[in-house]
Amino acid sequence: MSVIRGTQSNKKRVEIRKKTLWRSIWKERFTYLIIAPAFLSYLIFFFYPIGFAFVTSFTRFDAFQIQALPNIFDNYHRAIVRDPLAKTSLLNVFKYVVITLGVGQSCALILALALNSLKRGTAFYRTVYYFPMITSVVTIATIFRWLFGSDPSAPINTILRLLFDMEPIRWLWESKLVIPIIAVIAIWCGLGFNTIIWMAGLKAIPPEYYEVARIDGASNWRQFWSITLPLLKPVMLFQVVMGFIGGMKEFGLPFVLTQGGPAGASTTPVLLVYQYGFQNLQMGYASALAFLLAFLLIIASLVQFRIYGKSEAYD
Amino acid sequence: MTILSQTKTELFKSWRFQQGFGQILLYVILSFVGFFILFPFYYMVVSSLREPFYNFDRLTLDLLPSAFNLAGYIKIFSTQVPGAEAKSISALLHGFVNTLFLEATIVIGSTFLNALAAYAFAKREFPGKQFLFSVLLVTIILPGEVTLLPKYVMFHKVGLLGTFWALILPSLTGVFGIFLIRQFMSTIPDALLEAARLDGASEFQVVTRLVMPLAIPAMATYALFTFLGVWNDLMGPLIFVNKPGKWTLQLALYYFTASYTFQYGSAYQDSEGIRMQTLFAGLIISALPTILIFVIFQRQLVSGITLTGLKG
Repeated sequence: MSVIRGTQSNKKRVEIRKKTLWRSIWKERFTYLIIAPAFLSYLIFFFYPIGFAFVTSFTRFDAFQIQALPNIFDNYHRAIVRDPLAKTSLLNVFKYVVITLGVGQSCALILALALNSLKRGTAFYRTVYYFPMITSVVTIATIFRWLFGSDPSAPINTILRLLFDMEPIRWLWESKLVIPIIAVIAIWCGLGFNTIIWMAGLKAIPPEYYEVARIDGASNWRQFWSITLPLLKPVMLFQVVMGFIGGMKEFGLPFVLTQGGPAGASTTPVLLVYQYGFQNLQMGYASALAFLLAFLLIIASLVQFRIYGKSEAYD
Repeated sequence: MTILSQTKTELFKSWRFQQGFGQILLYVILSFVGFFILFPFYYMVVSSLREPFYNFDRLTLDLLPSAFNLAGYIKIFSTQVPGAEAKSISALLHGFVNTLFLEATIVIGSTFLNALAAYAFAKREFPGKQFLFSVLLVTIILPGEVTLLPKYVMFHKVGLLGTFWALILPSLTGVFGIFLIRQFMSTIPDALLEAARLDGASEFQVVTRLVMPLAIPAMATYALFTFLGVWNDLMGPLIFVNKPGKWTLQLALYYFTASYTFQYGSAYQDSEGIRMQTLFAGLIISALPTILIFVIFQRQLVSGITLTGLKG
C-alpha cells in the first residue's frame, strides 16, 4: 500500500513540478523572446546546413542535383585515398601551421616581453604592430604579390641583389618556397594581435613572484624559465589551439596570392572546398572534404586540451 | 685623470646606466621590427604618388618619394574593373556604397540583437539557460566552413543568392558578440535593475533604457570588430553576392588587383603612365576608413582583444 501511495505522491510531485516549470517558462517569456533571434539564426544558418552537408557528403551532388552514389562512402574514399590534392592541401596547411605557430608565436612572445619591460611608448609600438591586422587580405596579398614578384626588378629581388648580390628568385612560383612565404606574410599580419595577447598574459602574472625571485638571487633568464613561461601556460594553450584552428582554415592569402598554385603547392583544404564546391560545382565531394577538415579540427583541439592540461588552464 | 676613468667605469657598471642602455637597445630592436611592419605600407604610399611614366621595372630601389602626384587617386574613380557592369560610376565607388549599406545594417542590427541575448544570459534566470548556453558553445568548436556550401544551396533555393540578404541574415547574431557583451553586462549590479523594476519599468525598458546605455563600452567594442570584419570580408561576398552590381568594396578590389600581373614585370603602361599608381591608390583608398577608425578607437580594440582573447 505504502508503495502505491508513494508512487501516487511522486506523480503528483512531477505534475506540480511540470506546472511550476511551465509557469516559470511563461514568466520568462520576454527572455525567450530576446534570445529567439540568436537561436533561430543558428537553427537556419548553422545546424540545418551542417545536417544538410552531412547528408550530401554521401551523395553525388553536382550542380544542385542530388544523385545516389554507387558506394555511399565514395566521396570520403576519394578524399582520403584517390585525390592527391586533398593530401597535398593537408600537408601544406600543416607546414603553414608549424611555421606560423613556431616562428610567429616566438616572435610575438619576444616582442611582448620587450614591450613589457619598456618604460615609455608601449602603446605606440603596439599600434604600429597592429597595423596590418586592420588591412584587408586583398590589400595585403596584393602588396606582397608585388614585393615578392618573380621579376628581377621586383622589390625584394632588387633588395637582395643590392645587399647580397643574389640571383633573382621566383618566390611564389617556387613550389618549395610558396608556403613558407605565405606563412611569413601571415606572421607579419598577426604579429600585433599575438603580441597583445601575450602582453595580457604577462600582465596577469603577479609582480610579487618576480620580487621574491630577485631577493633569492634568480637571474633574469632563470626567472623567465621558472616563473614567466609556466605561468603563461594558459595563454600558450589559447594561442596554440586558436593558431592551429585558424591556420588549418587558411583561405584568403593563398586564394589571392596564388590561387593554390604552382600546381597545388599552396592549396589549402578550405581553398579546395571552394574550388570543388563553387567552381566545379561538385558539392557532395566538397562537403565530404569540409567534414573531414571539421573532424580533424575537433579531434586536434581536443587532443591539444588534453596535452596542455585540464580545462582550468583555459578558464 | 684616474678619477675621471674611475667614475667612467663606475658609471658603466651602475644600475641606472645598465637600465638606460637596456632601454635604448629595446627601442632599437622594437623600432627595427616596426620598420618591417610599416615598410610595405610606406612603399605603397610612395609608389602611389610617383610621377607618370615612372619606371617601376628599374633595377634600383627608390626609397624616397620622387613626386606628389595624385593622378592615380583621381583615375581610380573612373577605372573600369574587369568583369564589372559597364556603368558610369566606377566599380570601386559602387563597392564603397554597397559595403557601407552592409555595414549599416549588420553593425546596427547585430549589436542590438546580440546585446538583447547577452542581457538574457547575463541577468535572467530561466529554465534551460545552461543548456542553451552550451548549445551556443558548440558553434565555436565546429568550423563554420562546413556550412558554406549548404548555405549557398539554401540561398539558391530561396532566391536570395546574389542579394545582400544572403550576407546580412546570417550575420545578425553571433556567439562572439553575445559572449563579449554578456561578460560586460554581468558586472552591472542587480540592485540597479531592481530599482528600475520597482519604479515600474518593463523588462524591455530595463534592457534598452538602463542596461544597454551602461554596456556601451562593450557594445562599441563589438561594433568596432564587426565593422572591421565586414569591411575586410572577402569570402562571404565572393561566395554569396558575386554579381557585378552587388560587388562589395573588397570584391571589386579583388577583381581589380587580380587583373594586374606582376610576374612579367610590373610596368607595362597605360596611356597616362599611371597604371601602377592607380593600383596602389585603390589599395590605399579602400583601407583608409579602417585605418581612420583604428587610429580613433585603438584603445577599445586592444581592450576588446584581451577581453575576448583570454576570457571568452
